[in-house]
Amino acid sequence: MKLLTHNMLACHIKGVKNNFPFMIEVTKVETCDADYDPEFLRHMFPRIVWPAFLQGAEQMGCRDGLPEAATEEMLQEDTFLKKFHHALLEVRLQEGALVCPETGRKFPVSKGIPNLLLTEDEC
Amino acid sequence: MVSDLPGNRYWFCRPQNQKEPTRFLFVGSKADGNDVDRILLIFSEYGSVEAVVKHPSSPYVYFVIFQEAGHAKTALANVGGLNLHSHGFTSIKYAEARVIEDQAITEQDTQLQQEKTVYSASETGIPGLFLLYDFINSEEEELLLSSLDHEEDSNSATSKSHYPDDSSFKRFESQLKASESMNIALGTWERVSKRRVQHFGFRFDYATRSFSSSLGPLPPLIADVAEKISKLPEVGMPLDQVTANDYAPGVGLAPHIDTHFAFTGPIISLSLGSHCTMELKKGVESSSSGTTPALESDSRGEEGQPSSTEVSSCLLFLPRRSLLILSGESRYAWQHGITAWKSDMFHGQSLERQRRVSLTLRKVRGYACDCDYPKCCDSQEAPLVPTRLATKISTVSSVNMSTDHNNRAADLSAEHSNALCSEYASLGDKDRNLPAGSCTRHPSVIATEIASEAALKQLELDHVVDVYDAIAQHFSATRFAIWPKVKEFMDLLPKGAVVADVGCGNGKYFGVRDDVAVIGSDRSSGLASVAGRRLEAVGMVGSHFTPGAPPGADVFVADALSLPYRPSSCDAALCIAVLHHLSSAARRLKLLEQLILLLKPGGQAIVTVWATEQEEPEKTVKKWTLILPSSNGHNAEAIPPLLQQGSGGGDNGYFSTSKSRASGSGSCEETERSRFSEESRTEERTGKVQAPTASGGADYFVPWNLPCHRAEAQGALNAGKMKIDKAKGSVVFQRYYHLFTKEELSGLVATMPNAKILDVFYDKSNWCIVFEKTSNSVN
Repeated sequence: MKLLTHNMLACHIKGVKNNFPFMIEVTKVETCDADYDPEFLRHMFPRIVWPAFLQGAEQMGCRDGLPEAATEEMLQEDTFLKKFHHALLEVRLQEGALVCPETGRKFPVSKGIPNLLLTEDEC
Repeated sequence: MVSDLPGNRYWFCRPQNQKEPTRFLFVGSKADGNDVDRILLIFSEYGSVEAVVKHPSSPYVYFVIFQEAGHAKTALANVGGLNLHSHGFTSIKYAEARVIEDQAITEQDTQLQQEKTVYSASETGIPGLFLLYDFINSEEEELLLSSLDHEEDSNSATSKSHYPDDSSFKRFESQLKASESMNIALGTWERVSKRRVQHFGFRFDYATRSFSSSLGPLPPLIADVAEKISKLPEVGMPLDQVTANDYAPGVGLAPHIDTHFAFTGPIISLSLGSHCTMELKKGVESSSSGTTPALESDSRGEEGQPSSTEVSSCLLFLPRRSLLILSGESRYAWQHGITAWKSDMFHGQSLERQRRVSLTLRKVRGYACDCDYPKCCDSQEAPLVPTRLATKISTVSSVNMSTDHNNRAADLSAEHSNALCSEYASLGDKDRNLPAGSCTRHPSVIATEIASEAALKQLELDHVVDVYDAIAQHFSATRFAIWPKVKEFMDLLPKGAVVADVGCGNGKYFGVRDDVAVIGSDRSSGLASVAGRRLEAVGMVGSHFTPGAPPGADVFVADALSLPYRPSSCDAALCIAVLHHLSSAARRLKLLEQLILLLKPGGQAIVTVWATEQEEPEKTVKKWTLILPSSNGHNAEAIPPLLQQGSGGGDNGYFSTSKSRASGSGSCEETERSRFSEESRTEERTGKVQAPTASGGADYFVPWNLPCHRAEAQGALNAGKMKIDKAKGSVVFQRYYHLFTKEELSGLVATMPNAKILDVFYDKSNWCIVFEKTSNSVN
């Protein structure tokens, strides 16, 4: 699972209000090379909730070099874009869990794939 | 495209890196007529223009050739971007051009020609192969050739009618036109390197490797030829798809077997303008394995692909005006190709080859093939060889850089693209002799069970989720075709769009565009893990994938009825062939509401489902197990009151959208779709409904046959209680399907207050709907 995906997920347990972002419990993280495409990153940036992204990056161990507050101007800086690219697309959670911030319910991530199925009484 | 330029012949394609300037520009123009002079005038301002070349078949596409890349760059900066539309252009991009080199015939070839060339079908000894000399006379040949060259213009002129006429699509129409033109153009050059093609009867989309809408009846002259051929005793069936292939001398076609599930009956070729030598090879050669992505390699191993040891081959001289018929074994189990020679051997004499136009006639199929050659059959044991690779070749044209004559794999995969979208055929449907109710429980038993939501869930677990978990690998090996309508939808999305692919299956839409992020989910963890392998494989060293393609793709396991996408986070949603697996109207509605929830206001979703109106019902629904109509009581119970009024009434409020759309579509539209909407309008008027349930649809069990030799079949067998088809050597799984009527689908969407229907259409036995989350909606 990429941090891009993490940013688009919210806990869907019925009745949960504080549902975003999932906390990430890391057992194993892998880094895979992805093609660096500044244009894609510039288009993707406004779709990302930055504080959630930072929190995810912190938990995945790739927060380094990412500023507390990111601005559109930074999208012209190559150094920033490369850090953003790395954390958004290249660092992937292979084993671990997504944890609901309200209930603490853990959704396991195995072989890179989160299992977000709910139990009967959760939906 | 082949264009004659001073001194050289070029063909154009998309450059690998679209940002790297070249001296060639692709220009999409809005002008209807010849725009060369105007384009020359505009572009000459920015540098020295060597030539402006018209696309041979698309009136909207031109190529501007500058002397220097720097000039092209300046021109792009000035004419492109914000100034694009004021100049009357829809698109300007860098293009790449290749000079076509002559290929000399080698001594080795000459020796091969002398040893192996035969002159009649009987000499080949291949069952089902016929070669009829002088099938037409030279006047007829001349007429056909001149008509084809003329037909080319009128054919492309009518291509306008492919586009949606709904006003909400209008603004995209010109962009779509340009992008599609480019795709077609690129597909033409890239996929067979140097030949040109045109299609009749059914349009063939190279970018997606499958047929899209019907082109209507064959042009009169071609229809005459098709009819004459269809009456031959060796043929004996109507032919509805014709492709003209224009080969320059020295241009060949790699040996291939036309995809089984795409066409039924014989494959026929009429040679016009020149003779050539056809190469015939028995069986499925394993030569392509070296270029098959690792993603598929393990499943190929399991399939027990025929070994190359059985391959035998010969060369058959095809005279001008002769008719070649490949039927039976020669069609299903032999590869055929055209040698890339400039001269052919005719009884010891070398004859120079001229421009040859081959008219290929076929009968389109929309269902699984059950021929007697399972090892060569993509509907049976043989996987459709190039899956991911082929998709990349056609959708990312950069691969067409590999233009060398020996790139057999690329040609082979392109030829395999002669495939109807398998999503829409009932594949693996081999247990046709089994009695109805061959699933583990009898439908009537199930009918009584279906009383509660829990039972519905269980039905889906048993007959959807568990089945896909069990057959995931095998299923995935047959599902690679990118459906044109889905690609069209995706092509319109803005860069950087986040796309939820709900029920993503094997993730075949992940890489359609590398500048959007497709985040897929599937209820079946088996399918999700197959899709997950796609993410790992990307960018692999030595792979044939475009490095870095789908950068944003990802996958997780989730139930479409409770999706974890952050509300209003996605620009678009795909829900392809999923909704029909849900077992009540209430549950279907719940899924659609989940799509609305995850969409941003203004975001769009495309949903496709199997239609009650199957194109060849005798091959599909009549072979399936209808779950007894009485069992549909659960539908009636679960449907919101609005939906229970039945689709026959016609004046229910929720029809208004589709009705107004239908009436606004004009009377001159000739597409397949409008014919169907015409029919459904008639239905509405007369109140005649063919479907057995109140909601208009019908529930079926659709079998999936998993060959017993596959590893996953063993698991199913060990688990016990599985139905075995001994004759076919397969484990029979039954999948639950709810077939939809048009009104039912649009009715469901219309029930949602914050959904606005943009388009409802029929294509290849499916109903498809595109809708938007209204901009004032709040989550």
